[in-house]
Amino acid sequence: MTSTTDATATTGRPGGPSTGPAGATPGTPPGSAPPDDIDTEQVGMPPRTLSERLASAGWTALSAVLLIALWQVVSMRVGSTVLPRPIQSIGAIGDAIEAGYLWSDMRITAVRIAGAFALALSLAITFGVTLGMSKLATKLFGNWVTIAASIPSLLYIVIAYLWVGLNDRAAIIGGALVVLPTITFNIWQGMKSLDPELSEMSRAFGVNRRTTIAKVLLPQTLPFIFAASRLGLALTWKIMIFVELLGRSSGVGYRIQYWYNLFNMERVLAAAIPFILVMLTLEFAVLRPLERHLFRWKREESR
Amino acid sequence: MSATLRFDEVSRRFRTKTRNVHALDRVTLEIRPLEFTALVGPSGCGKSTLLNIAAGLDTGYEGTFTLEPADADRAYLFQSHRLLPWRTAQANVSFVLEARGLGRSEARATARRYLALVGLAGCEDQFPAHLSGGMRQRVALARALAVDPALMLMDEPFSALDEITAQRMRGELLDIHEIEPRTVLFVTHNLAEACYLADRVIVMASNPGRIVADVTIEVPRPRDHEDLRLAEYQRELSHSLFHHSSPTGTQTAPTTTDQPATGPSDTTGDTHHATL
Repeated sequence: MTSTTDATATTGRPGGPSTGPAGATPGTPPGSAPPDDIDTEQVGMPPRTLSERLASAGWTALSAVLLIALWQVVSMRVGSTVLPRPIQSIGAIGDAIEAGYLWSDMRITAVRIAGAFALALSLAITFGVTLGMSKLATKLFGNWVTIAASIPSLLYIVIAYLWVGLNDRAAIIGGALVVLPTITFNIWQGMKSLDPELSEMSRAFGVNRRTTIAKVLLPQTLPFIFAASRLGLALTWKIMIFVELLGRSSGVGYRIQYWYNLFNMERVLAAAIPFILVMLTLEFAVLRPLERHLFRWKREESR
Repeated sequence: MSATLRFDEVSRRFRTKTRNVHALDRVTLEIRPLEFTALVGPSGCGKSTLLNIAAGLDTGYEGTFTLEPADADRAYLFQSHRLLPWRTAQANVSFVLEARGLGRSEARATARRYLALVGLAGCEDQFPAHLSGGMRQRVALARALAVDPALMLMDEPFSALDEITAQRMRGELLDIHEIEPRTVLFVTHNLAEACYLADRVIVMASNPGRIVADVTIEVPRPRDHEDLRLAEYQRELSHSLFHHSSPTGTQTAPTTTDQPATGPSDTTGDTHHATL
């Protein structure tokens, strides 16, 4: 017999006059009213009110003020040659801007970080996904990740400079190598959390393999690839300063080393703080809101 | 369009590290078009295996299984909702429609229609995490219905819900089945559920998985779950269930000698709607 989808589809009301005697069941026909188990009150996300936002911003500001106050107190206790006052540091940053090297330093370092991060992430996704998909790969190369993670960072950097030369390419490769094992490991572990039940559902509904990969598997990998990227970016920035300090004559890391050799604490801070602020801005203003938006479906998962 | 299923001498063995499981032993069964068939039995009796073979998810069986027509559309309602958590209710339904080649706007319209049919009008844009357990299962039901399947496979779809919600959804399922009848294969532990929903109840036993009873429920629809005739069927089915599911799996004396052993278990099993 042919299905009567059309009858229900157009009316949305089984049990209507046209559907015959069978549809005349006592009780609520489906679709006529929300059933009791649908508790409309709890549906949806709680709205974030203005006062909640303000309160949250207030706490952030307070915590920042406390940190600066602590800095001030400590520098007053230990003396400004050991730890310059906050106000002195701001002055030193002004001097650095005037001298003209602050922006170029930051730009150079940012480019190196971006290069190393992009290289590390693309390799980590390749390796991590391969390890996660193939048992053979896990048996053969699983331990390599552990071995790679146990090698001291310094060794990667030195080897990169020795093999490639004292240039930016070596800096990017060295930085990428240091963070690669950690990101790979995170993505590999994330692959284990893929839900085989969803793939089975996809198969049961006759969805083809390509669509299943694109629309069922890939979206499941995004949260942990995103988390691994955030971790990777933070690690890359820290290690890049070190890479520059070891073998480059430009960038934030070089500048820190330069002023360190002159024992100028003020200028060391002045070189580091602006870039720390850039990374913090990236984290708070870009990455966190982006993560909140991308993975908004995750919230209230516990319900 | 509706589907006919034929299992002919179908056997299925699983090898695990510790032991071999004989999930199905030469099972022969025909499911007729538009029949609502329930499969009941203890854990390990192969009822889910049978369902997975019918779904095309399990191909490692012996014997023959035929589905007529061979390209009949199948839909599956699982014990858990198995919704894609990053897609809204509506997008979850359109996912399977678009995968079948429906255009985006057409898929969207169909999804909304079926969500309304299961009582979820107004919840189209909610993510599964923001819905209650019953509502999630309704979305899954809408997804299964939306593909307009000739064969609907259901694996304990209401067992994870609270009894009140489950009871309500059973009633709605029957209402929908009245209007859009199709071949349904419904796996459950719950005898009362099986008798209430099905035209025909197949009782299975384990070690090895086999069919021990095949009962047609001749109670006209619409049915009332308090109908005494249903309780009578339940008693009968419960008897064949306990009768055959001796833990040792002895098959030698299937009819008479087991009688004393089933007596006590039958009296203790007074509340037949209890899950087995």
